[in-house]
Amino acid sequence: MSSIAIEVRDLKKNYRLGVLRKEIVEALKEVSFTVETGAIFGLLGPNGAGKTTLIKILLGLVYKTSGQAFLMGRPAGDRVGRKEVGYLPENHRIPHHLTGHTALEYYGGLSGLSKKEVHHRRGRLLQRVNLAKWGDVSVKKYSKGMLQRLGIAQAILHDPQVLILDEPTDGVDPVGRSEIRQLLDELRSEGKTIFINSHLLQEIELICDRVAILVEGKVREVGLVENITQRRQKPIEFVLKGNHDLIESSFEAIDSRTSEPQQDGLVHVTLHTDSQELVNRCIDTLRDNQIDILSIARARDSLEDAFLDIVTSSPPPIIR
Amino acid sequence: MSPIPHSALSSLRPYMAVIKDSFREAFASRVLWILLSISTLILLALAPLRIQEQRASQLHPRSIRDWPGLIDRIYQQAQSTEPSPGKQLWIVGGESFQNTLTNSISADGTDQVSRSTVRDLADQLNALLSKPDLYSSEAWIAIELNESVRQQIEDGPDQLTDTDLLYFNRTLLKLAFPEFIARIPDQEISLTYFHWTLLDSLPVTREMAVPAVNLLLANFMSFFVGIVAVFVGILVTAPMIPNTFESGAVDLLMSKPVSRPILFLVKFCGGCVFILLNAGYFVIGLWLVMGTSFGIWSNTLLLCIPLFLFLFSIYYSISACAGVLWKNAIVSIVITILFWGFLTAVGSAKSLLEQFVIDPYRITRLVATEQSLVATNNSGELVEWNRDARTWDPLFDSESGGRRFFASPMIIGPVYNPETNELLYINRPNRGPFRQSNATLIHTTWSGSWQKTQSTAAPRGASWLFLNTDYDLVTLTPNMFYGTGKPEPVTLQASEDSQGFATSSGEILVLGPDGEVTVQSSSSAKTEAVVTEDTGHTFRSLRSQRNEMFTDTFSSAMDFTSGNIVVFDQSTVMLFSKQENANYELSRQRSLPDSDGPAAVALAGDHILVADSKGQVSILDEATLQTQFTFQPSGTGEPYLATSQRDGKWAAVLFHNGTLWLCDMNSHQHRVLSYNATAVAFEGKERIRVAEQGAVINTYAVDSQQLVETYRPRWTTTAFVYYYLVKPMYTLLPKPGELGDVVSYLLTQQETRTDGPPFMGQPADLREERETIDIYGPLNSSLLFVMVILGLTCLQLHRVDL
Repeated sequence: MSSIAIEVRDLKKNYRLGVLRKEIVEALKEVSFTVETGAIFGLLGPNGAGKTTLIKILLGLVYKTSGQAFLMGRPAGDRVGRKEVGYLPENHRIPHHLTGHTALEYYGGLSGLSKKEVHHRRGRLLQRVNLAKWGDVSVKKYSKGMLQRLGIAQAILHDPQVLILDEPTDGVDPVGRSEIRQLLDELRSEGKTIFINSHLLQEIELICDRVAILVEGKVREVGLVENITQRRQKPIEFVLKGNHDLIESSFEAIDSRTSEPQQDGLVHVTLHTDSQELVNRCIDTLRDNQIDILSIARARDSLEDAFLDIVTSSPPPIIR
Repeated sequence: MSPIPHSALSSLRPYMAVIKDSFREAFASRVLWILLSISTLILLALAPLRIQEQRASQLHPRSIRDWPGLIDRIYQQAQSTEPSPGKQLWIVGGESFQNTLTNSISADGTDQVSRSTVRDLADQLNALLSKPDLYSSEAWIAIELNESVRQQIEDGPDQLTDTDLLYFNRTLLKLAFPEFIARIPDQEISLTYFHWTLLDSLPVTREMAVPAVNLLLANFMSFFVGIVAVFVGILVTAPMIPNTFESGAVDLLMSKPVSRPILFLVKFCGGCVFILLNAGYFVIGLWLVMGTSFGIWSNTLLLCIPLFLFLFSIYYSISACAGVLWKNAIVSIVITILFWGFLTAVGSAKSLLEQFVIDPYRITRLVATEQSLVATNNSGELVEWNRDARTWDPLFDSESGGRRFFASPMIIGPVYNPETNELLYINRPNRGPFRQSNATLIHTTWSGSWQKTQSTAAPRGASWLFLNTDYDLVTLTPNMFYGTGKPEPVTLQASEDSQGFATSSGEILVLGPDGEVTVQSSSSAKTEAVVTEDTGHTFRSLRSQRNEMFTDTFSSAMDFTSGNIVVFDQSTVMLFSKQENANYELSRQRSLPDSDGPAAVALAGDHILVADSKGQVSILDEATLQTQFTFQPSGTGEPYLATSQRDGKWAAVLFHNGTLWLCDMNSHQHRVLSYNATAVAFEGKERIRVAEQGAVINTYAVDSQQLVETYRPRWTTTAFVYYYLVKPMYTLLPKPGELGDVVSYLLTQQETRTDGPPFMGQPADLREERETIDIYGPLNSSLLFVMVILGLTCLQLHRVDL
């Protein structure tokens, strides 16, 4: 099996608008990234960034203008390739005449499963998404969260290698979200590749290994979640116990610092420095002065902070 | 058969899932259950209907084929001193019957009898049927009675039960007035509902009623399934395609390994499931009701299920296409209804233009005279080609005071007499209870232009008119041959009546008070002709050695060289040889059991051509009447006429569907010359004139089929609009409305139909105008339309972003 589940290279998509279709809108601008097999990949971006367009190109719902996109080594949109994909669209509509069971029978059939295979799998699957008691109930009576879970169930029914989930936790309560996170973890452990498009950055941060941030049709950042959250240098915070003067003298080498004695006798010191060597030297001095170091921590951005920073900052100049 | 490979089955599975889901969706629809409930109620309501067949006990107004003749005969017999059936009716009927009969005799001597009078008389006659004293041996002494009647007379009519008495008296009337009472069966049917009788008895057998019942059924189904269910189906299924292709739903579907066009087509088929369930349920239910209630197990009825499905698919293709383009159910419904209206408008425009502009002017007969080209048209006019104006001008004002659009009279002939420069034809009512009466022979002569010179009475029921080798007219009625010319000398024998003489030919000549001579047949005492003076066009009866009457739809032809006449009636072909005294002798006859119903015949050289109502053309040897060849040149289409060259080399059969078939009677080589002909006439030995596209006359060389000459009328605006706008549009567009005709065809198996429905069981004259039911045309154009619309939708779906 290829180690790359999804590959996108210089993908462009232009939409033609207007009565005479003369107005051109660039929805995707030379987008490139890869998703390794077995990874959970998050696609982030503000509304209108081109996330759904990208997913639709991968599934063959929308035709690309140029560039290349591959799914499990096959050109995006390839019918055979789609057998290996499970997809949960945003605001999906499951026909109202179906029940949980018949919906799975219908979508399982569409995925090429026999009725027998669907019957064999659906009980366990509905249990997995916590809908076991709702199998024979019309989907008309399902809540938004239940519909979302049923959508996930149909996406994984045929045991696909790649899961593309567009806002999977949309409308789901916190408990449900937790269950979905757990389910996705299990799927990752089964070796499935999961591609998530979500606005809920905390969810993404909790679930995803790698993310790509799409802004106005361009990939502005792609990489491990850690790398993205640590892209900005943040201060180091010490919690110390000991003589205040000794503490102050221990940090003499670093000018940019703040020190705040606390009522409980503890001292909080914040260092603004990029030099690890200076920090190491300060720690050595603190130990020599027999100051108790209760904690050292470098403050970091949340994914949301990083996302906002990336989205609001002006794009880097294009170097050709 | 090898099993389907697993991979193929697997790739079909997604589409099977869509079809299955369509059934699920249909069953989830409340409207389906409402419609099925309505269908069930209708079927349950129809189930108690029964056709009861019983021995005939009544005379239906339409049982009498010549009311004026019957009235006249009864009245004449009543005025006589001798006992006769008519006199007996007069006596037993009493004052009421006598008054009705007297009042029904028109003062002006015309044969007009109003419908109300006909109804009154029928009621009076039916009342007489219950009289035990109707029969008297003196009155019926001259009538040949059948075995069963004789037996009942021996047993004593007063011993009969009420129903037996009705049947007995009815039979007596049939035997007494055979030429006026149609060949009606001895059984009659009535329609009952539980214990109630819904319809009075109809003089037909159950078997004869089947086509009419099927026709009613076709109309009923066309309305309930073809209009109501289809319309509801459009409303119900309109959201299916938009819902499938709207965002959120299509993403889910297209993430599966399915093809867009196939998904659309399968979804389209799935939409048809709704109408399949409705039509299937209703038609199968109706089939069961028809079988169990009426004993009519019409299996072709079941073919209406796919037909209605197809009808629905025409509208649904538009609905689906709009659904893909606009993804909005309301827009789909509106566009479909607009499309429905557009088709109806085009169809109505075509029908109206045909009915009032095209058909009335359609040439139906061609006559080549030495002076001009003369023809008859569909509105019963005689028209002449005006070379300068390039128009067909009426020869003279229509007798009806204008062009007849409905129930135009039938023109028998015309025949052209080159000796006297005369054009002669018989004008007679076309249909209804008066078709056997009121015929008029019209004489026109050439004196720079055609002038109507004389109108004389033609024999009652005149059906065929020929000009024999002596340039005398010969006309045939169902019960007699008549001819003009000098009568043969007769030897008179004094009869008991001081004023009557029996001739050697068995007729009685009665000298009237004004010196007129009335010719009566000895058996029925029926007046055959009135000879006052020899005008040269006064008909006299010819002997033809016939024992029984022909039916109303017999056909005939004359050999132009020998003057022999061939008659085809009820599967029997009869050859009458012309005798030296102008009488005819039945020289041979042969039954053609496969050719029942009316036929078109022609005498060509040594051959007789019979084109039967099933479209089969048989060539018979005139000498032996043995069939030499058979052809089926136009499927099962009904023939309109058959004709031949004077020398008999070529013969032609023109079918109601426009096919003109030519056959060389010597070599039996044959070919189709035209597919849209309406009239044909040979012109000399080398040419044939064909009326095509209504009023265009093309002259072809017979041997080479080369077009020699064309008479094309000047275009009128309406004709231009018809031929260049309405008709092409109609041809290209689907014809859902005409699929109702296909339903009629499936149920009645009749490719043509006359203006009015033929009286139950009695076929219409082949010369009457027929509307040909185009079975394959609407199916083909509709199928092509559906395929084009679906193809374009698939193409659009394939190329757009979803």
